[in-house]
Amino acid sequence: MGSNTVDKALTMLRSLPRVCLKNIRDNPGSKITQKRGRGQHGGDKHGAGNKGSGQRQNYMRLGYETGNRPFYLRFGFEPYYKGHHLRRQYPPVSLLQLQTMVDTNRVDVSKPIDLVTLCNTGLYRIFPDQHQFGINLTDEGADIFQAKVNIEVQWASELVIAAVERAGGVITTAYYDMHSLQCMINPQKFFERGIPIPRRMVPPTDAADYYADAAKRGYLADPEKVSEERLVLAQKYGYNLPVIENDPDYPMLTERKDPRQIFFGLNPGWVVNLKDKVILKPLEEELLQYYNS
Amino acid sequence: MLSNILPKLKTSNYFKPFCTAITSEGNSKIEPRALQFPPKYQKPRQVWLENLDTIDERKLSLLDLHPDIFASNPRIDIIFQNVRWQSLYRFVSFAHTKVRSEVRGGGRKPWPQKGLGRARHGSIRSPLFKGGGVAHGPRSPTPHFYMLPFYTRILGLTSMLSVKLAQDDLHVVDNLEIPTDEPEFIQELVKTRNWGPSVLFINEVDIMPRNITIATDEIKHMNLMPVYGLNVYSMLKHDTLVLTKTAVDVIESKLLTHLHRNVFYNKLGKYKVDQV
Amino acid sequence: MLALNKFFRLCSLNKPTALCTKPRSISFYDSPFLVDHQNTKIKFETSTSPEEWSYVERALPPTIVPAPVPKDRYPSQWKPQTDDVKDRPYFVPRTKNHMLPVYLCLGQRGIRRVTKVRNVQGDIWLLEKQLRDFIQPQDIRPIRSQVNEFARYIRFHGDYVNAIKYWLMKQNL
Repeated sequence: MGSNTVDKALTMLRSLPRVCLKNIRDNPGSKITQKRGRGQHGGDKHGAGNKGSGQRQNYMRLGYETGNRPFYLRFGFEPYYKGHHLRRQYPPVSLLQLQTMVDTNRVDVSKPIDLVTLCNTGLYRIFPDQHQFGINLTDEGADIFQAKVNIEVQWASELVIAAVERAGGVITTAYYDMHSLQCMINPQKFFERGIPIPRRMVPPTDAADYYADAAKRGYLADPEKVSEERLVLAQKYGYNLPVIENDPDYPMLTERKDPRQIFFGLNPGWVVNLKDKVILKPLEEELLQYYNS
Repeated sequence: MLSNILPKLKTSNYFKPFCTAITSEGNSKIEPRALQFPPKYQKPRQVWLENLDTIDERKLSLLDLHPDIFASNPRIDIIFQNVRWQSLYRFVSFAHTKVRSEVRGGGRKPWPQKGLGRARHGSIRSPLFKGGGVAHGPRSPTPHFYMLPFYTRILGLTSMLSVKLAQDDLHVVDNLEIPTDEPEFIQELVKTRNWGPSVLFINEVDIMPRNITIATDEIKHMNLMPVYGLNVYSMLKHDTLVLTKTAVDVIESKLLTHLHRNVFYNKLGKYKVDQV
Repeated sequence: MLALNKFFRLCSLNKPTALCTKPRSISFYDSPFLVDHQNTKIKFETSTSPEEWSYVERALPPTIVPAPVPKDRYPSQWKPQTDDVKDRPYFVPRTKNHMLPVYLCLGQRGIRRVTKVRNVQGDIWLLEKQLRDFIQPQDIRPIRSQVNEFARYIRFHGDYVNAIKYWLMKQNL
């Protein structure tokens, strides 16, 4: 075992005087003392020059080009930004990253994986207020992906779906609205608020087609059509589709959420009390009707 | 300079070879302490478990201490930053000077703008005048609150504990029970054992045994503290640090949990005073 | 109850129910002050079933980073560290996320790329020499490096992150 710098430092301390309040200091050069502008050291005109708007601190407004039409006003029509505030973003996670998480045991493969699981690892963050609507599973690492998972993402391409199904797993695409996402990114904080779990909203019209499409494994698609598409993809990409019905993990692989559910096993309308470790469920007819619709 | 210091170290007991647990008077064997997140390369540091019952020390057993906490890099600059933070974050400066509008008088123009051959002025209380207001002076109350980053504070605690252990100023006792409530007992004990004049006793809970509370009540330089009050400033102020065995367990478990925490961005975010 | 009735007379646009008290089109001047409705009780039940609570536990994050489980093969290029490191002249401990502490430092708007190996214990000079011998064949020019013994890091000028990670994993570090 070689000599360690830390051991050397600690051994040095044994022969030095006791470290006390009077003999400690910051690293030399770490603190920059503010120089007052006096005399030849930034004094006299204090960098403002002579007369004019510079010394009188009366500058022209930013972007002004002394009379000619300024650049920021020249172009009255920039169509590329139209509707940018309405576009949904899906920050990516690659299959390679997912495989690494599975290998390092950050993600439990014996349970279904969804946005809640990924956010709880701390390795992935979503900001719903910045129009980020969930996970986009990318195809980097599709060739080495071998984890059998039941994963629920918000966007996946055909190659990704093929890679997951080839490994014997199940992939679903589901939509979560902004309020549901805020609950999911930090479940601890949400439960501590003490409000009922909200109902997940249906996707907007421009996303409805995507999530009802069996080829995209949408959560609103017909399950029979999804089985058909699984066969289609297996034939397209040339792999043997594993028969998940014979798999011992079949119940886990087919565990799906209700379209109105946010968390697995917890229905909308319930209030979770973390301190007393109980769940409060409403019995009022109107509330039950609302949350079960 | 280093050559003067290093030869002395060969005679020191700091790097004793690893010993098995020592029994007290050959009675029941005390289990060696299991470390959370066992270190792979660095050796655990060892410290005697002493007693506080008698004036002369009796070594009860050897305890293992985690090197990540008790043998981490002794960062003196981090220790300094922690001390500065502890002093400043609750400091409010009440120094106050009057601005030109607050100084009494000075509303009228003292003399006309032109014609007198004197410099032009608008008020006799401008900063240029004797007796005038101060331009950029202190304004009361000025808080100096700031939060040192969370992991800098953790590093400060681990550095300080390593420094204390390295300089033989850290002692671990089984509990803080002493036989009498006389202050002379504790003073005699500290003097005999060569523990510096000021001692900081750390207990795991805030309710301390009766005798030691009464004994150290009158002595200003011997203080009792629960484990949650452990801080860099107190460790520097007191020469010797005495921890109970349970306090060591609590400190290690808390600091190691923070060093191996799952989600770190909760701690790295901006400190918001009003947010839970 | 009185406050509620007065409130419903004010807003005729939306059909009020026993529980709905906030119709949409109401202005500041029309809305009454908050009243504590002590006599309205919403029926609820408390459930302490352990299987339902297990779903809550599933939604909560773990406090500490989980330890990796030993497996025969890892499809991603990650490999766990061996435990047999007592006789090594140097040692590079993994981060708390079980990853190698090899980072790419960018400076000067992305032009300057420096590879940094942090937290090196033991003989840091030996490790630096061995790493330099390994990555030198990739460039004709001599690879510039810096060893900071007190802060325990090594810096190589250039982007050799993957090469160094590959070499360290080969040493089972």
